[in-house]
Amino acid sequence: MEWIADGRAKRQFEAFVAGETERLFRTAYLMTGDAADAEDLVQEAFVRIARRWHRVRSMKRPAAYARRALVNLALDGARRRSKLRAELDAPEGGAEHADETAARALREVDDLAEFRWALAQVPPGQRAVLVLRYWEDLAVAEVAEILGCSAGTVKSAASRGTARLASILAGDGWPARESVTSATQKGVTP
Amino acid sequence: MITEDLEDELRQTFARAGAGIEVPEAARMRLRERNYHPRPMHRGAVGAVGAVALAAATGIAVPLALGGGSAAVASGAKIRLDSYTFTMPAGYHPARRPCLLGIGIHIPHIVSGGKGISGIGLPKVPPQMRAAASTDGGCVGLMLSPAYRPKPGSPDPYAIGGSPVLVGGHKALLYDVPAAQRGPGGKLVPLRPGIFDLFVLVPTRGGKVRDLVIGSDNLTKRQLIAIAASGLSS
Repeated sequence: MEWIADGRAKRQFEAFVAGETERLFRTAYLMTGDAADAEDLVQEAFVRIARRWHRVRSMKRPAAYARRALVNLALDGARRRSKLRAELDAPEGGAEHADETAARALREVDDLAEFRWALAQVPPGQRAVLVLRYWEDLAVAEVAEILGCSAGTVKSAASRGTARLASILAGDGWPARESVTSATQKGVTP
Repeated sequence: MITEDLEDELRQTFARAGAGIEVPEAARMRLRERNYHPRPMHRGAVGAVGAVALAAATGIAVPLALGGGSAAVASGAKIRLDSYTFTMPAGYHPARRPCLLGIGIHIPHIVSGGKGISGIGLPKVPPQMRAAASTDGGCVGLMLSPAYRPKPGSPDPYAIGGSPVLVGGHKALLYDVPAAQRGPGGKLVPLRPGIFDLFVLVPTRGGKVRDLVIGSDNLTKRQLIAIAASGLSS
């Protein structure tokens, strides 16, 4: 177990926390759909990083390590690895919406709280793929490495997740307004 | 597989959705000021400065019943309070010195004659506290409130400002503990955020109830609730 003992490393870590909080919080929020859960996740990720800070700070991209820790924590909380893989590997069949239909549904999103709510309805593994691919803008190979699956699995999970998202946005369910109001009151603006 | 056009659309929508997420100021402060690098098991200095907890809501400094007696704490991370045994998770060991300042700050205030609970008849006995710490700096403290018999129409003495949560099958209230510590020269110094108290209502004999207070430092709310749930079910 390592601890941050010297002052310089401690200051570096504090600067890292200050610099990464916002980005990690947003990712965590997109992963969980809840501000309190997002805060917990970010905090747990920082705790994990602090324990390994002497190694993490010498990495080329400490932020990438932080993102990976956060995503793994989010998925650990959602399901065990084996279940996650089963979900990612599930056969096609949910992709009933063609790409053009999905693109139209995304273009018509004008209420971003609705989009975030719809995203939270997508199964966790597929949601993680979507967040990593299209919010974090990671390559398929990087997403596959983080999630411990093949590139093909990432691609098909992205396809199914997008279809699911589009289906929800197209009208399969938008909750009572009070749910959205509750989300916005937790620090999220539309 | 997804076309490039659709991927572009996804990136744009995610960028807009992510940009609209703001970190609440209180959360930002908690995340920045949390102590991520504690020194394990060397917390004597905390007691040496004469720590007190300050209930920010009332502005009243209240002394803590920080029990140092580890004799009643069994080895193997089992903590015994009255007739209750609470099992800590692996990696937690009884703390000879209290590792927590804020736990149960409501209780001493209430026991010493707080307002709004007349008729419940709480005895003025300081509750005992037991604590356990993990090698990575987590700290959990436990305290039992005096037993009382709820009366119709009387307020729950602890239901002020807490967030209702379920811990296993138990109803509980979660508090973000606002606390301060008396430093050298008697000056009150605000404690960092990230100290939580969980008040779990547990039944006792004769229709009475009491609260098992489980406080934590260097743990997230979720970790505290998980520890409480597993400890209560064991």
